[in-house]
Amino acid sequence: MVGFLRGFATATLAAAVVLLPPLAAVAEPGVADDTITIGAYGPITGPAAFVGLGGRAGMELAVEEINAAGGIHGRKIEVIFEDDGFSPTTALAAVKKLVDQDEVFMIFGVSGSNPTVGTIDFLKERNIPTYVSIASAPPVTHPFHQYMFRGGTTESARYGELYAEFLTQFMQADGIAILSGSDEFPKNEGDATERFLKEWYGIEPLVRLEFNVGDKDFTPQLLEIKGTNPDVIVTLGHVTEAQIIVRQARELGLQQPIFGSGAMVDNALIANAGYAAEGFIGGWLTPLFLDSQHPDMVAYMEAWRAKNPDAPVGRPNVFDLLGYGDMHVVAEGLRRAGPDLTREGFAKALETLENWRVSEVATPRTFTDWHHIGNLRMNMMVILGQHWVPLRWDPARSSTVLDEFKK
Amino acid sequence: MQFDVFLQLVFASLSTGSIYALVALGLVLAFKGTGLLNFAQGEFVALGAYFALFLSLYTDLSYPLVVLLTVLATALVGIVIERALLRPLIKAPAFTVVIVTLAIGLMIRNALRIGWQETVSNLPSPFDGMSWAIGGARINLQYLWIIGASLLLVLLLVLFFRLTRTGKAMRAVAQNQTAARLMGVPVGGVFSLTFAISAGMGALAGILVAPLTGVEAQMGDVLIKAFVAAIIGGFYSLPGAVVGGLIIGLAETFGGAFFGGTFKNVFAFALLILVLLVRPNGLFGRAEIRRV
Repeated sequence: MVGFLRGFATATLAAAVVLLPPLAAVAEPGVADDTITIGAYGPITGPAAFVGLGGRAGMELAVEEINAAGGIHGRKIEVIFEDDGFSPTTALAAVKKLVDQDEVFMIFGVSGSNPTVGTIDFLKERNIPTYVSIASAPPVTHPFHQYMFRGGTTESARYGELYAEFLTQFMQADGIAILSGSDEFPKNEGDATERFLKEWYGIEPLVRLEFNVGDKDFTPQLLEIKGTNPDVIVTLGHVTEAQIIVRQARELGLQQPIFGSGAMVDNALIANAGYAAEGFIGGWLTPLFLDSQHPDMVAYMEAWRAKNPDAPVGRPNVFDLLGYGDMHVVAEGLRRAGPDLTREGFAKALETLENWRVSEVATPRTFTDWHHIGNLRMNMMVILGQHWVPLRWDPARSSTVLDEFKK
Repeated sequence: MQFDVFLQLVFASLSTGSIYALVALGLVLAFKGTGLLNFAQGEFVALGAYFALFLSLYTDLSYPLVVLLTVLATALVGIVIERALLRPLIKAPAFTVVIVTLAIGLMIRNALRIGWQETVSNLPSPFDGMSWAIGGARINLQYLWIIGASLLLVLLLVLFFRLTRTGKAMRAVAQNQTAARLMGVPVGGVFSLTFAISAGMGALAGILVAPLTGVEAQMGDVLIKAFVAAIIGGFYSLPGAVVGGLIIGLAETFGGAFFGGTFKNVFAFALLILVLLVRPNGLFGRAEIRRV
C-alpha cells in the first residue's frame, strides 16, 4: 500500500511538472505576444462628457502614434474604453468589467474626481496598476499605494500652495477675497488657498464666500466683496460661472484684478465675458495654450485635427492634452518595463521616470518609489488683447505636498 | 443696508426673476393649451439658444432675423415632437405623457452635448456691454430687455387666450378634450399649435438669456425654478407665472445677500412650501370646481 501511494504521488508530481506551464511563461492579464490591452474609463455621456470625450480622443491619438512607431517591444497597445457617465457607481462597474471580464493589464482614468473616487478601493484591493490622468481627488495618491499613479493634474493642496504664493508674491496682494463653488474641486482649492495664505504668509482672506454650481447671478456675493475693497478677487470653479462673475463684477464697479482656477482658463471666458475678462489670470495645467505657435503645439494640433476632422466646436480642450501626454507617459513606463512585462515591473518602471514628457505640450512627470504624484507644476496665464498669454512666473518655494511621503 | 446696495439687489432680483418668468410662461402655456406638464420645456430654451448660436456663427443674418428664424425653427421642432411622439399618446395616462416629455428633453440635451462640446459659448446681443446707472446702482440692458419681453409676452398671451377663437379653443381643449372635440374644436391642431407657441417661447427665452449666461447644454436646468415660479403663480395663470418668477428672484437674491450664496436655493423652495401652505392653489390659482 505504501509503495502504491508513493508511486501515485510520484506519478502525480511528474504529470504536474509535464502538464503545467513553467511559471515564467504565465502571462500577465492583458499581455499577449502582440498586444497589451489597457482598460480606460471616463464620462462620454452626461454633464461632464466633454471631459471624457477629450481625454479619450487625446489618449487615442497617443496610442495611434505609439503603435505607428512599432508599439512597445513589438506589442501594439489596444484600449477598451468604458463610459462612466460621471457617476461613481457606474465608474466602479466599468472598472470591474475591465478587470474581471476583459482582463486588462492596467486602468487608465480620464474621468473627474467623483467617479474616480468610486473606483479607488477596488483597484487598490486588486493591485491593478492605475494611472489617473485628470482627477485631482486626494485618495488617488493618499495614502501611497504601489500601483496608483496621478499624471497631468496636480494635488488639491498643491493648487493652494501655488495660488497663495502667486497671489502674495507675484501680484503683491494682501487683501484677498475668495469666492468659490460649493462642489468638490473648487471647495478643495478654496480651502487649500486659504490654508496656505495663513500658514505661509500669515494672511487671512478678507472674506470667503461660496456659490452653488449652476448659479446665474452673483450680485449678493460681489456686493459683499465690494464692501471689503480687496486687492484681488479669487474665484474658483468652472468657466460657466466665471464668465458671469467677471462680467457682473465689472458692471458693479469692481475693477480689481480677478484670479481664477484652472478650469476657468478657457477661450469660452474670453468669448463670453469679452473685454470684461481682460487681465483675468488663471492656472493652466500644460505649458502651452492651445493656440500657441510653438512647433510642438502646432504639430499636436495638426495631428489631432487629422484624426478628428469633424470635431465638434470646443475641441480639442485641456483634457485632450492631458490624455495625450499621460498615455505617452504610460507607454514610456511599458517600454522601460522591458519585453517580459509584468504589473509589478511596469509600476517599478514608471518610478524611474524623472521629468519625462512627450513634448512641450505636456508638463514633465516624475515618479519615485515613495510618491506617485507626477506633476506639481502649473503655469499662470493672463488674458491680454483677448488671448491667453503665459506669464513668466515660477514658484520660489518648494512644495510641502510630498513631505508626508518622505516621513 | 445702504440704499444703493438695496437697489442693486432689487435689480438683480428682477433680472433673475424675469428669466424664471419667461420660462414659466412657456410651461403654463403648454399646460393651459393641452393640460400637459412639459418637462422638455427647459430643453426648448437650450435648443433656441443653440439655433441662434448656429445662425450667428455661420450666417450674416441680422439679430432680428436670427431671433425670428430661431423661434420659427424651434416652433417647428415643437410641432414635430407633438405630432410624432405625443399625439399617438393622446389617450395614455397623463403621467405616461409627462415621462415621455422628460425623455424627449433628455434626448435633446444629450444631442446638444455631443454635437457641441464647447464648455460654454457666446451668443452676441445688440445690448452687449451696455448698462444703465440708476440711483447708484447699475443694470445691464439685456436684463431690461428680458423684463420688458416677459411683460409684453404675458400681455399678448392674455389677450390671445381671452379674445381670439384659437385661444378660447385652446382653453377648451385643456379643460375637456372630449367636449371640445364634440363642439367642433380640432383638438389635434390645437395641440400642435400649443406646442409650437410653447417651444417658440422657450426658444425666445433661450435667445434672451444666452447673452448673459452663455450657451450650454445645461441651460434647461432653469426649468426647476420656472416650475416653482409657475406653481407659486397658480400654474393656470400667465400673470401668475411672471409674479411667481419675480418673487423667486427676490427670495433668492435677498436670501443670498443676508444668509450666504449657498442658501439661495433653500429660500426659493422654502418660499414655495410656504405659499402652498397658505394658498394651496398658488397666488393666482383657483380651486377646481366640478359640477356633481
